[in-house]
Amino acid sequence: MRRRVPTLGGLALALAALACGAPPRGPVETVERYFDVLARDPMRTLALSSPEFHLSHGLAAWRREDGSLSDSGSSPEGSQPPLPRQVEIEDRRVGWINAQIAPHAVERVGELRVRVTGSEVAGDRARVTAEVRPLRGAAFVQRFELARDAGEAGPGAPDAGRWRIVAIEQEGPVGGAWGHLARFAAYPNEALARSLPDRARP
Amino acid sequence: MGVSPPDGERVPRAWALAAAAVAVAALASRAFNAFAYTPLRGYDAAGHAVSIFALFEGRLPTPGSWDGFQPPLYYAAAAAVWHLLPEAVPVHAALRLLSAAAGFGAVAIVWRTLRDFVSETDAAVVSAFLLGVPVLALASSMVGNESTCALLVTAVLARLVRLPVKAGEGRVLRHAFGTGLLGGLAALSKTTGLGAVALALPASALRLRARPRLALASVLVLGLVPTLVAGPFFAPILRAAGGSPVGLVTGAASSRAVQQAMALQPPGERHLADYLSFPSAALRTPVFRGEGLERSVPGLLHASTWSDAHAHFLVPVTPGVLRAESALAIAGLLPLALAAFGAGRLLSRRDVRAGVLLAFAALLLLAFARVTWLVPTYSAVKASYLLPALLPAGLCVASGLAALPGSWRSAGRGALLGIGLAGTALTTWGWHLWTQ
Repeated sequence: MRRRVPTLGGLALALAALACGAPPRGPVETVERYFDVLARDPMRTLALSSPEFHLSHGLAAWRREDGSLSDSGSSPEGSQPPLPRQVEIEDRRVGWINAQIAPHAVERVGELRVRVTGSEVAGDRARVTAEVRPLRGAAFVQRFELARDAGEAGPGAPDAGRWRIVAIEQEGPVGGAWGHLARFAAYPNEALARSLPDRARP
Repeated sequence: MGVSPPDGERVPRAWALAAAAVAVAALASRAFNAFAYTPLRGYDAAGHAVSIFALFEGRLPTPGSWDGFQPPLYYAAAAAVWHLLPEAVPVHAALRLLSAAAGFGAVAIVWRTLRDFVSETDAAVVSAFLLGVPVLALASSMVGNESTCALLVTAVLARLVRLPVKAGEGRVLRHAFGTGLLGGLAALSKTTGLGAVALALPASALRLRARPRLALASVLVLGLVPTLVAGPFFAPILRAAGGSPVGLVTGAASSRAVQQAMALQPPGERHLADYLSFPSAALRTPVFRGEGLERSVPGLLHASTWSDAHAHFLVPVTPGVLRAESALAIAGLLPLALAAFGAGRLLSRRDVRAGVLLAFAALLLLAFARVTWLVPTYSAVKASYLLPALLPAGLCVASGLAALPGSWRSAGRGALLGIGLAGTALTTWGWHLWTQ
């Protein structure tokens, strides 16, 4: 699949799509939806991902101007107590959104071609594998772990019972700077952010 | 041709049409920007998005998170919009349209209220002009609670102006209840709304001073209703900030992430001179990196009124964009001069209704100065924080315009509409592509 970043034609496309679409149901649809809304509709990625996911990608709510990480969750000086878990999750979500709207990530996401190559479901857990081919850089495999959860606001919450992404892993050759950018665009995370060129960092 | 305004002037069709054209251009620009701006660019947009998501999931924003100090009304409205959206429509685009609707709603109230003070023509011209001023154009093109708060505060101020002081007791008290409810909702959308509540009490007492018993009853209603509406939501925010009232206006008091971000942001400390300086960069290079602008409060305030001074949308790497921002910042001196002239004129007339609006503007400016002193960072100096004073600002400009004689007045109208149109053009996404 190939997605569009916001362009002059984005308005017409979005208006034309007003009556389309439905909430994701299965794990594969959830992963497809993830690639569909990534960077293009960042807020919807929040509804596709679990709190555990946000604790795993490592992105902090903000970073210094030189691009270095500022991690409010674990003070490097060790002088401050750990944050309450819910505050840390929310801060990671802010970092996740900011990483998606970094200019280079937005541009690269539009160049990804994604194909789901496998899936397996076991009760309330699932694994989905996708092949990601960037316009520039080597193709790679992205593995998703998903879980059906009760929703953060409790079992009666509107989001209860949805499949959500719990973790993402990438495999395959990186293929230089373009490869790094493509991987970051497909899965923004702190480890990749540190290896990006300065101007491409979120 | 039109209806007769208070001063007997008939509405010239050409000015009405010109004002309508400027307003339509602003409307089209907002609709376009909603989809075309890079997703979630804007002041604290990611923090707002996370708080909206919390409401979307049926829980309140987490105190101590990035925007967890903000009251929840805007987030609740945004979450409701999200629930109603088809999956294919980007959430941020719909929420930008919500901001645009609030911004246009605020200006509509300004327009209606100005007609009580100046001619219909001047009211229409000034309202259309306001729609194009970049601070409002950008705030109503982004995800955030700025324009929602501006709408509700403007509604409160307009009701204070139109208080039926000679009506029966029942009607006056019902009016007080409505004003109190709107005040409570304003405070629930952004803490700045508390200023409207604080002003409503003495303003109502002053306007009803000839009927002391009714004035007291009105003040009680105006105090009680907002307290009941908004009070419960401020308690946990205050707790998260350790009881500090500063925690109601900035995340720096409760969020460690915000504290860390602010700690590295210049200037780091404030001096009195920061409030008295106005560097030429405010006109030549009106972005926060401009020489002396990180420190100058009036300079950055002017820059963020007339350009994208914090560089969220119009990245000033394109020379054409910076030149256009500079031209608009210079042109912005004209409405500023008109507003100063108009404010002086209003003060000399001793009109209590205008005095209420000017008092609110003064209160907001004082609070703004205090907050920028307590939070000494350039990101705390944004003109959008003063958007709740849209009605007083519009009244000052309109009053200055109305005082101009003959052909000067026509020139003033033309200039204001031209500046409004230029502001709309500047803030329409993609504009920089054809200025390179």
